[in-house]
Amino acid sequence: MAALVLTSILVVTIVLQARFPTRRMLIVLAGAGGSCLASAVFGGGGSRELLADVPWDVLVLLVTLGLLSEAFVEGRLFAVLAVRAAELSRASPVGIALVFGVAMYCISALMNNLTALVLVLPVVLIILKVSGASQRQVTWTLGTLLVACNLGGAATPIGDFPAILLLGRGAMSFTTYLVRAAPATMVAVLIILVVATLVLRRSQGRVGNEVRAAISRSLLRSLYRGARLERRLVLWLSIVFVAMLAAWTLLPASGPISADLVGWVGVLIALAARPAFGERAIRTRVDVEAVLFLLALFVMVGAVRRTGVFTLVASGLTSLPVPPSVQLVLFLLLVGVVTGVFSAGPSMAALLEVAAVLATRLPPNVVYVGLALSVCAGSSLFLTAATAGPLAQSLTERTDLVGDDGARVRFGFTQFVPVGVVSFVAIELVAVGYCLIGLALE
Amino acid sequence: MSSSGRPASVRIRLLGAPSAPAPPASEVTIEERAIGRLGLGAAFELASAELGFVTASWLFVDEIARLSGEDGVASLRDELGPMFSVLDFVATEWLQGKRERSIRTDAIVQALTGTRRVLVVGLEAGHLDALGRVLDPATRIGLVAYRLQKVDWKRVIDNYRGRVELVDLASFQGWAGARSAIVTFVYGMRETRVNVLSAFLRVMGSDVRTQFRDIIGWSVLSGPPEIYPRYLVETLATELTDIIDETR
Repeated sequence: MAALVLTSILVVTIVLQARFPTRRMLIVLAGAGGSCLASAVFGGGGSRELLADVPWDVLVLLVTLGLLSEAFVEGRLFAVLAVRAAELSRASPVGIALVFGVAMYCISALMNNLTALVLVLPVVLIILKVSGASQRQVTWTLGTLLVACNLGGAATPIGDFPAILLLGRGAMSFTTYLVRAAPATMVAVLIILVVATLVLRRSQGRVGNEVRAAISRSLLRSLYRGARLERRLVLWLSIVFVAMLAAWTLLPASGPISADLVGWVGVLIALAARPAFGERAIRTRVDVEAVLFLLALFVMVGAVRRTGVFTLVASGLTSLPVPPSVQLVLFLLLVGVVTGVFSAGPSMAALLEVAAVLATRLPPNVVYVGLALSVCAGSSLFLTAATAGPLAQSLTERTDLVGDDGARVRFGFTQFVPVGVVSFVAIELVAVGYCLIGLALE
Repeated sequence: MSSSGRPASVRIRLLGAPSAPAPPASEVTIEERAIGRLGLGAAFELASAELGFVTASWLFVDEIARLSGEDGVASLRDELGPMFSVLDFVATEWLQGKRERSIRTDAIVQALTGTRRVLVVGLEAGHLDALGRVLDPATRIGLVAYRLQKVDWKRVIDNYRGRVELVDLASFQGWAGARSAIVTFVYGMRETRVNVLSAFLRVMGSDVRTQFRDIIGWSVLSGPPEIYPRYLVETLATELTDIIDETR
């Protein structure tokens, strides 16, 4: 009975928060409160026990990485990179997708891609506006950037929430994840960039493109004429960040100095370079809403875990009369679709529990990296599931892109679908391929 | 605002957290549709909003001239000129032989001598950049964040690295005082009337006139536009205590 009630609360809450995003916080907090109450009533442990199960280290790691990204913003790193990338791309349709796609993949692998995207996307949107970009060009350029962000986030253990969760929970060490996930995501991003190039080549030869490209470069230089790198600050932040990466790589995952502690201490040393900014950033720029959202998810998932439902699901999966490799493939497909519908945060929080059980019967590294890749595939399926999707949609709407025919050019759920489907298939194929090869080798 | 120009209330979106729902899609206006059909119209609209009409006009004319020569500039004038009168004026001047823009600041600095606060109404990036460089660093410069076109004010103000402060329409009177001046840009004068940006009319009221030591018009065009200046408004020259004109 407890399992039925608590699982129902989790599923209904996830569905409702996806259906009514403007009431999201009320819904998830109500769900978490309901879970605590039901769990206490059924004897599974109240809020004290459930809160003790929350992976606080993951939340700490997310906050510290967000603050570090914000410090790089203060050093003007992203603005300068964006303008340089625009020069490098020559403002051509294929050039923009390739240069910015690679840039966002690399940035997202190391930092909070949402912070970077807020500064990089306006530059891309200016180029698209000046070039009078067609609907196809806007869709594939912005879509490619979003998918590159997702793949970059999955490439390293500090890039995005699923990987951070794996690192924070000690499921995988920093290096183990990196050497397995990075090559796989590189293959996927290569596939996406090749497809985008083929699609965007049609926009390449339009009349007047050279003039428009020259004007957009000149305009960007003027609009960002004051964007100069704060060299001393960026140098200091880079040194601290490299030291943090070294600590994450070299320190044993099971040792006393955990990944979140490295992040905690590291970001405070980084912010010490600008105490006034550091104080202001901590006070005003940490998103309490996001912390509460994830906390509520962890509480609900923890309550369900205590009932043994996840073990049951995993047992059901592993008792299917098919080889283990097929069981894993079915699980990855399920993860991809569920993430596409409910987004990465909720699906990863819930499905990691199933993966943990699967990892007791199959090679853990294969299961976890496959899980992270499939979450990435699902995040790339729909605009609403992509981590930065609504942000990109919002910034594009504000830019008021108008095509040469005078019609509004949009970037919303419908427009993203072709990019999403191609990306989902490509990344899922890479995930399945990775797992099958991994199972064969282990 | 922070030193980087970001509003203090901007918060970090954490990875894995939900993103705010996107706003409902806006419809394209008849004017935006018309500008969009003009090829570079939307681009000029964006450039003029954040750089000012004169600065944007010179940027477009210089770039087109470099790539397509006189024919290109003439085409630009014919295509965009009817919609953007300042661009028409600048392109015509270029075709008549004026190949470089010079921004002189001696007279404006002279006029602002003794002021401690200068409130700039309207945006001309080239002139504002120059003013920021030559004015006594002890003199604060404020920029009124009001424009009919859409402007990313954060991007605009980031270029000044704290030298110029953003001032909203509701609080600009905090800049008033016996050692304060208003500077606005003048886009040509015809008899007793001058062309200014509508922001100037939003700011100027009979109460405001007495709160500032000077209300200076800084001429940025050497004459009035031939074509009806649809993004500009006319006002009496007597609204200004001084007009600085070093464009010739």
